[in-house]
Amino acid sequence: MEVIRAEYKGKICTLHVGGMKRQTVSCGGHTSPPFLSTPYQRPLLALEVYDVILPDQNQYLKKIWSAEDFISRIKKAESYSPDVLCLRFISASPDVNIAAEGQPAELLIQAKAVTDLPLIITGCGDNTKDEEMLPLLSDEMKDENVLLGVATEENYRMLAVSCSVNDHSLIAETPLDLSLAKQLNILIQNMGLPVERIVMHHATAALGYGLEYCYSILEKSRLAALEGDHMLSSVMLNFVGQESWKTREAQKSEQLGINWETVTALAYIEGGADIIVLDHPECLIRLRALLDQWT
Amino acid sequence: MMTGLQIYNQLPKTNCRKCGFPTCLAFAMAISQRRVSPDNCPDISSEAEKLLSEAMRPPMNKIKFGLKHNEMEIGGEEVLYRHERTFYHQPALALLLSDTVSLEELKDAIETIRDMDFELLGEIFKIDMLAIKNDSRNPDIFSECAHLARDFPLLLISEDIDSVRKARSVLKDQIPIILGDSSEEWIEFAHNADSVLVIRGSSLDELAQKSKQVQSHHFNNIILYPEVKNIKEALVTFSSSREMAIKSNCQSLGFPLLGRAGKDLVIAAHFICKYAGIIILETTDYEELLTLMTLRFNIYSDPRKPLMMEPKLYEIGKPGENSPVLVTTNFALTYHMVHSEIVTSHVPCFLLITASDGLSVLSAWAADKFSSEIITKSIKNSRIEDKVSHRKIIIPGCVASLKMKLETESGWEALIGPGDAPMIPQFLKAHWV
Repeated sequence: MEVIRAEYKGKICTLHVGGMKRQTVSCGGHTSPPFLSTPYQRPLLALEVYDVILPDQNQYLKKIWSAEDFISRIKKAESYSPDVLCLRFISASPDVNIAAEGQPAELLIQAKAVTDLPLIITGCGDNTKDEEMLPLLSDEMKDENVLLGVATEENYRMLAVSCSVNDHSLIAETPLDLSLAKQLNILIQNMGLPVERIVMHHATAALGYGLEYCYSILEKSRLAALEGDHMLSSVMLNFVGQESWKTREAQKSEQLGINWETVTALAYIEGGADIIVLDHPECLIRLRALLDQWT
Repeated sequence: MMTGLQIYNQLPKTNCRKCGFPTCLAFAMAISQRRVSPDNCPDISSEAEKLLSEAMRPPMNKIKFGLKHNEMEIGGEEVLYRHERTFYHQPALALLLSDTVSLEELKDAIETIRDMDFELLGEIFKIDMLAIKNDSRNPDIFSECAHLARDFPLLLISEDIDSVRKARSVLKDQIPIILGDSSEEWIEFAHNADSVLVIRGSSLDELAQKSKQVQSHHFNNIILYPEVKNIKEALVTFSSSREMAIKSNCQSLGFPLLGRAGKDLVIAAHFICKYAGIIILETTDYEELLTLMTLRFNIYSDPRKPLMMEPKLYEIGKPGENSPVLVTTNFALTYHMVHSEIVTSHVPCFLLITASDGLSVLSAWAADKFSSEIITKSIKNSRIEDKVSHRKIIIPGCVASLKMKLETESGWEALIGPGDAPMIPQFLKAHWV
């Protein structure tokens, strides 16, 4: 029997993260829906390290990450060998009243000296603050090809220019809407950063909290790109850890939290995500074991 | 598949409304979306009905099994991606038990499973079915176990047809699924014994060939089991099979698929997303099952219908008489976003959910489903006035224009909250704590 499968004319961009003294990894490059391209380009698994541990952080995550300072946390995260390390500078947020061990730029200088893993660097989520802070961090990492974020419709200009000047890539976030995602990609490209250097974040919801909306947006986005919509052919990322550990289920037991994060991540991988940002090391280990069987 | 217009051309075009639709064209569109059957038209010609029913026949057979009068259905799927229409029949999760344990132990295991409740969006779900494996190779033991588990839909796993025969004979009130062999003898047995037969094959070719063979016996009650070597092969085989059935109308592969996930949560989750009709699990771990049932609930929710929450008062944390009261619509995603932000804020709150047809705040407001009248009614019906001592309600920032009218009608003071859920923690800290 001849197995007939759909053929696609589009191709997903290949994204490289890392460079110079830093290890380099890549993702994307697919010509068919998730898992069906040969050779299969596996998604990148990132582990997230926060610059400060918030008091309302999930108790189980706190247990893992809070005992040490930022640099020790980075070393700890590195010991689990994630593909990428995600440094999240949340202390800059106007809502956060805890002082970090230093200014974000100072912390980053120390951080980059202790790890040679490829880096994702994210801000605090406040558009104005991030617009001030992220370009400084971007300058600090010049030519080391980090993935910077998160840019929104409000603050993409400064961030796109900064990434373009320093040779970084940028995470662009839009809320569950393909036309908005495409529009932001075009706007960012117009600022000089090509679509190959953009990573789309279509929003992340945890299992049981609207996951199906995000799952379907990923599938639609990926199919649109494979069918030839070049402006949607950027790779896609999901912040799975943050959302999963906020859920009621993840407050109940650590094991349930790990299940929740793992299965949320798996669903996004099925949907087409190319980069998954995780918070719990156990989850990284389980997903890597699965991907090892798959590739 | 026919388009709405092609279907319309087969209808009487009288716009008589007897089908419940205002026009024949509207009815034709509904048929093309498979929301109604062509025979809802009382005046349709028999040729047209035959033509339409044939053209609209789902590319994948629907298989019924389980307890009589409460059968389960799997298969009948029409699309590869849920956003293309919807996935109709969620995969049954079958928990594997062996017949080598003592009857006492088996009884306990069954009771534990029976007592498991899974609450998803306020609804209680139970474990769908059990799979009993004839490790003992003893027909008497196997049938005793089947008898013990008989009020669950059963999947009987045995290579020994005598064991299956015996077990089948004690299951009067259900249509079991049999996983053994797919030789003529088994096909004939399943056919006569009103059972569903699992067809095994190590490749798509083998499955298609065997499936054709079974159907030549005028037996269609089958499930296909791709016996794959590893997860990578499973992935390709399951999705190829689904794509061949749906896109190439390959009738021999137009049946639900069975996947064995063993003890692996992640592989079970993969089977839920990608195309299994039945998943055999070797776990009774409540937390793993809750995770899988939640995923299944999400993936199999109908994207054509907005998911709705029950309109009522929700308590988040342990709110008291001085706690804030927030109001929003019953669109599930809106509820979840607001809920999640309230949890983040660590401020115990009352969250009042209005009956707004599952629309998001702005859509509901535009459709007059999130009006001052509706909010006032929700306030009265929820008895929130007995629960808090203040009279302040936080409304979504994007409908600030409701403030005046709401205050007059309800007698409550309306505080204009943030326009976006992520700003809620900040808002609560600034205005309440």
